[in-house]
Amino acid sequence: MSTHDIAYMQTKNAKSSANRGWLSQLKVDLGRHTLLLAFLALLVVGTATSDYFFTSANFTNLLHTMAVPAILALGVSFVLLVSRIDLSMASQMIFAPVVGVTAIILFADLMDISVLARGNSFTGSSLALVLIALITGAFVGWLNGIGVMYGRITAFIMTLAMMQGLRGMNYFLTGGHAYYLQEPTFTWMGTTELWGIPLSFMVYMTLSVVAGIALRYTLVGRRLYAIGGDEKSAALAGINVRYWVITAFTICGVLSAIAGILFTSRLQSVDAPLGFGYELTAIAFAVIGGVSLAGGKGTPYRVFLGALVITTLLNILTLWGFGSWYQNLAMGIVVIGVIAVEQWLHRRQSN
Amino acid sequence: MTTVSVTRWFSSSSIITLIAIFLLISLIASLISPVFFNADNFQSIVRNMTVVGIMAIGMTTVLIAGEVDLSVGSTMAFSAMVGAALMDGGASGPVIAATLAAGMLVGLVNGIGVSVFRVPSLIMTLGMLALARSLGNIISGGQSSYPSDLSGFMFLGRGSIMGMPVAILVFAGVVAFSYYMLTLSKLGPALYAVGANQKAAILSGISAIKVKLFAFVFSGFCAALAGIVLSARLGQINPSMGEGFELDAIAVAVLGGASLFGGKGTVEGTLTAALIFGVLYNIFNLVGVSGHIQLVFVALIIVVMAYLHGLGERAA
Repeated sequence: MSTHDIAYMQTKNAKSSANRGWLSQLKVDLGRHTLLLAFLALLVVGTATSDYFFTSANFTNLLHTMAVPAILALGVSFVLLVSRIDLSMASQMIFAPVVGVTAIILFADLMDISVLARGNSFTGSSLALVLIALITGAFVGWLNGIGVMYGRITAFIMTLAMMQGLRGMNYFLTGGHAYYLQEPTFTWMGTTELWGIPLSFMVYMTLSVVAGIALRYTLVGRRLYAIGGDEKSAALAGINVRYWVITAFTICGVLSAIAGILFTSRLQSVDAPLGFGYELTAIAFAVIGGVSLAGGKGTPYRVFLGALVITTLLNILTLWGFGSWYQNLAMGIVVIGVIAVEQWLHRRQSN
Repeated sequence: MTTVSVTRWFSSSSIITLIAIFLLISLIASLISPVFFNADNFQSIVRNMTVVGIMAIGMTTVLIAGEVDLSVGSTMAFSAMVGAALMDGGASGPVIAATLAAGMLVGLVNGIGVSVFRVPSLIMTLGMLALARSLGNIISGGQSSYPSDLSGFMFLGRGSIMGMPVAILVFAGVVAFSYYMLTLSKLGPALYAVGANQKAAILSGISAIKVKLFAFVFSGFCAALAGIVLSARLGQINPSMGEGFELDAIAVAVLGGASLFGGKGTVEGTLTAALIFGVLYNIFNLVGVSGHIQLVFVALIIVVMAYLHGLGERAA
């Protein structure tokens, strides 16, 4: 082989590797922005197939639908970050306002004040209800954390039991009937919109931004990612694993309570059977957003994208006239499909 | 006894512990209620546990293999609706066969997703929970079917042979088969090996894919079979049947000693745990505790048992 040939081959190799670099860079970029691309594609499909899709009324509706499960997804992300799981969010979401209502009714009974009008329309203080609900949420989340860290019960079992137990408590406390929240504050919380953006969504965005900043720039994030990445090393490095995992569960509990307050004020009622299946939607949002069940991976921004894509998809299906059966079918397929593709790409990369 | 010896005892002989708990609870029950200690009541306890018991046996197999199946409740409904679609033929055979085949098919899809596509089983079966449930609704249009004309089908839920309810015999059959499979066949050790340490199992020549496929298919089969027993007992095939059953099945399997981390669990443990749950529910009903408070009690019991299990394992 002459020197000329060698030089030629070298330039050829250099060229092809430069090409490959550009291509693989594009692939990486596409991979990074899959969810955003999926969302844009859905926007195009939605606009092309339905006259109603690209209207402000529909977007308001979409944000309304998205906010509550997205807050739950944000909450469970904290727990998933430290490689635990919380299956009790949906029960907690109902439990918090239920405790608020029943505690106030009980207290009012003791004081001989009536907070119920026309049977079971709640007319008591909404501020007290919200406060009690938040405290309840924090307590239940903390209890999950205590069970997992001090009781050393697998998070799956602990929160499964919590889910069942709270569901029972919800029925027991409400006596199986609904309380109606027609107090003006709740109506305000459930219906306020600013430039077509519902209050619940603004709350979600605020929480999401705060969570994003906390996870990225503060000690909270560094600790949680460290524990999720490798718990033993984190413990050896002197991180108080118990404290931070319990904190993650408590945050999840508080966020579930906030979701519950927004949910009940939207529906203007508190009822035990509500919210069934929301834990699955929330986990689906988080997981499609790239939060790993193995811990240490995921950001609130990506959870937001996951929630946005799924909600838009379900919205389009609704506009096409497909009911909830087909929507659940689609959600099941998307969750399995996305993770299967991700796993496949991951294995190809590591090969 | 000191705490240490109590906890050590817990770990070393979990089946004996379970039986002791069962006897203790039964003793308390017979003190509380005079109706408890009689053959008819025992039969009704076992009969009430057949559905969850069959599902829990399938779940145990999946847990031993190191995975979890959250889709069993939906699999039950989906396969029952597939069977119901063939009901117009008027023969029980095709309905039963189609139901079981549909359950195994769901299990197969779960197994392929988990072992071939490496989707974590929690996600795979969570997706399947939504998917199979909605497929069941779509197939049936959300309508229930009534199998009362299918004598063979109804026999599985309501019939009895020499005074013994067929449902219990079906349960016994599942228990016997899975006991044989886990302890006497070649598959048993493979299941435990894959669940305990998949890499080591693969290196020693075990096909982890085949083992997991089998576990999921068996779980799907059990869910479908439990669905037949349940719908025959109720006289109704309902697309919303089995909602939340996955939790009961997991609770029974875990109480019986199966671990979510794989490699652990026995048929006799799960069977005893199913009986414990049966007695508990029976006491609740005899005493008149409402269904909602029962949920709270059962949740508490699961937490306490899981805690004691953990104590035992750490002491060992």
